[in-house]
Amino acid sequence: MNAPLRARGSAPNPPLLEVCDLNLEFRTRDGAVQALEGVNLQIRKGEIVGLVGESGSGKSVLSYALLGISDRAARITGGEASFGGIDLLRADARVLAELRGREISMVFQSPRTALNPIRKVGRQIEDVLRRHALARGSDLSRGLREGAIQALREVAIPDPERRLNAYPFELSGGMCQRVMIALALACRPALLIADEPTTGLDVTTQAAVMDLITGLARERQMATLFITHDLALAADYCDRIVVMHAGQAVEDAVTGSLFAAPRHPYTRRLISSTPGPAGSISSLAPVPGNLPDLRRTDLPACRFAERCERADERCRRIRPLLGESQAREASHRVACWYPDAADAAGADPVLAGREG
Amino acid sequence: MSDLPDPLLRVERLKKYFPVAGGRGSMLHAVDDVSLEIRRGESVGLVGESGCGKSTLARLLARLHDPTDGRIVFDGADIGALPAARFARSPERARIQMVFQDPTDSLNPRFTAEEAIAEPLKLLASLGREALRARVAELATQVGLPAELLARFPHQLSGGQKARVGIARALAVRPDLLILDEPTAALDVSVQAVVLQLLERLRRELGLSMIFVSHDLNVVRLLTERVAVMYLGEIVEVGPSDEVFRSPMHPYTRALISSIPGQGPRIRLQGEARSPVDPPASACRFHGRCPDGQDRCGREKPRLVSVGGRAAACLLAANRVSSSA
Repeated sequence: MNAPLRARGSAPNPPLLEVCDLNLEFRTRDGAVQALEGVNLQIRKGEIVGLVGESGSGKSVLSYALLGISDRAARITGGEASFGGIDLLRADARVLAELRGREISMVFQSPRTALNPIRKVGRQIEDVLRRHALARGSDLSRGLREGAIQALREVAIPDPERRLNAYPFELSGGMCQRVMIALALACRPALLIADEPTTGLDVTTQAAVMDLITGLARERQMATLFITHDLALAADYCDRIVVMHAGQAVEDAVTGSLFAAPRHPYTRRLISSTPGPAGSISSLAPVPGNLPDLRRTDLPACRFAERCERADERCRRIRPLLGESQAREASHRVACWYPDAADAAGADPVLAGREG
Repeated sequence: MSDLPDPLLRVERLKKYFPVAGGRGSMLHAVDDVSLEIRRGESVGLVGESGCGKSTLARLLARLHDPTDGRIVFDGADIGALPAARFARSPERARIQMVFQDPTDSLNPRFTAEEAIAEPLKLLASLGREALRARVAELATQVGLPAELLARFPHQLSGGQKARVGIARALAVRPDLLILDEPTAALDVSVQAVVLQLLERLRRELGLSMIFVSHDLNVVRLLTERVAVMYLGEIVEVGPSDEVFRSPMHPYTRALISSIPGQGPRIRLQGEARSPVDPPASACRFHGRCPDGQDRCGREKPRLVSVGGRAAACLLAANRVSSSA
């Protein structure tokens, strides 16, 4: 199964994951919630892509849809998502089950609730290995145990032989997250989705966990989708960043370019509301207003229009598409009718401090 | 006596030990020998990793816990000696108020915003019905909560609105000292920015002293004049926020600051913090994890040494300062 997935394509490095124009809605008693609209996303092998935006922007909904683990009320109403040639949205449940945990893996936000609290962590890793039959040989149980030890060793858990027998509650938050990562990476997936993997962790632990994930990603040429609301963190670790707002992808750019010259007004505000190592409290410029209610039937075409000082009739009526407005080089695409100039001067606001 | 006015709050050698269940007399040293002063109108940050004792210290100062030992002197009165249950009825209760971490968890789901804000007033201030309503409306204006939202229940409010209710509630009884435990940890950056600006404005307008507990160092730097860094129950460094962030003296502070995203090269700490249960009496608690550690650090316990407005508890920092002086 691995071979056709990884040896495909005539282009030098075609996207491993390609999401085109994805629409997803939730059916609720109060009508349909338009959770994702026309989302485009590509991730190549070995690439670390950040997905950023406020809560409610659809980051997690998108990742669940890719894994086929959406809520029952969710319905995909259009678009494509292909992973190494497999149609993720229409694939058979059995095919998806084979893919999950083996080719596409996920690290969840809170390891303490994502791990089984009454099963030893070693057993939980063995479960994954057994499910995907990666441990073989005459002595299966020894193979599984060795696989689990190896998985724990790779995430730098000291004394893995002993930690196999620990329950999640016996481990610190950072250790639990390492176990979660070991679990996700045990089968050496081609794509890892990490959904806020460091929320709730201390900065020192956060740095260690991020170093670990991105280090393994580089080493194994694994594609990584890193979901976060922390722009500074994304800036530190991602090759490329996709910004989402209210279910729409509004900007997609190489990290350096995004921070040096954000083009979408939402991205610019998001950056300027993030406290950085320099600047004062009065220089924080929050995004005005709130996310629009996605149950509305009269949503403006650009969903940022009601929070945007530049919006006009065109923004309310015609949805700007990523890359369509004044199409520049593919390394920086923006879905806005009136974006900031691509070559806007100015230092990187997060990394170098903000101007007053 | 000194010409400086008395601090609003003075903490002297404060200790809080918790007995360890089944630990045969073992004690968890949550807060260990902490001394700190907060001046009137001053904003002080408490930072450190989870488990370092910063929340316990905040709760001691808010008099929600009883200290094991040490003194808490608030505006000249020793409030540490009074058991927490009795303090709840003392006149000082209204003067120290706390804003809790998660606005969703800390608001009663069956109280409307108005009832939540009115509750401390009913308990601590005797106001007539009209006066109560008027005060709640005034508070809502102060924190920027639209009056029409007062009738709503927490689940009908956004995160930022709930945070405003939590702040209004703490301000209701006109405190002198506001203790904020990670007040923006549950909020999006954009909402966080609004709440931080609100807190800064309230501090200026009301002349409040604030203690700001957070693990987000960028937020602490923005909101505080002075910062105390805690490690395993002890204050390891304290000083003006700008200076501490610009040139940290303690190796732990340096590692902490280097871990902030966007800071460039990172100092990696080895292993995890040691256990706060029965820590060794004659060793630096950071020893073993410290990138600069020497043998001496395992035998000798550093004291917090002041150098012109700043202080650090490190045997090596003292050398560094004296050699550069």
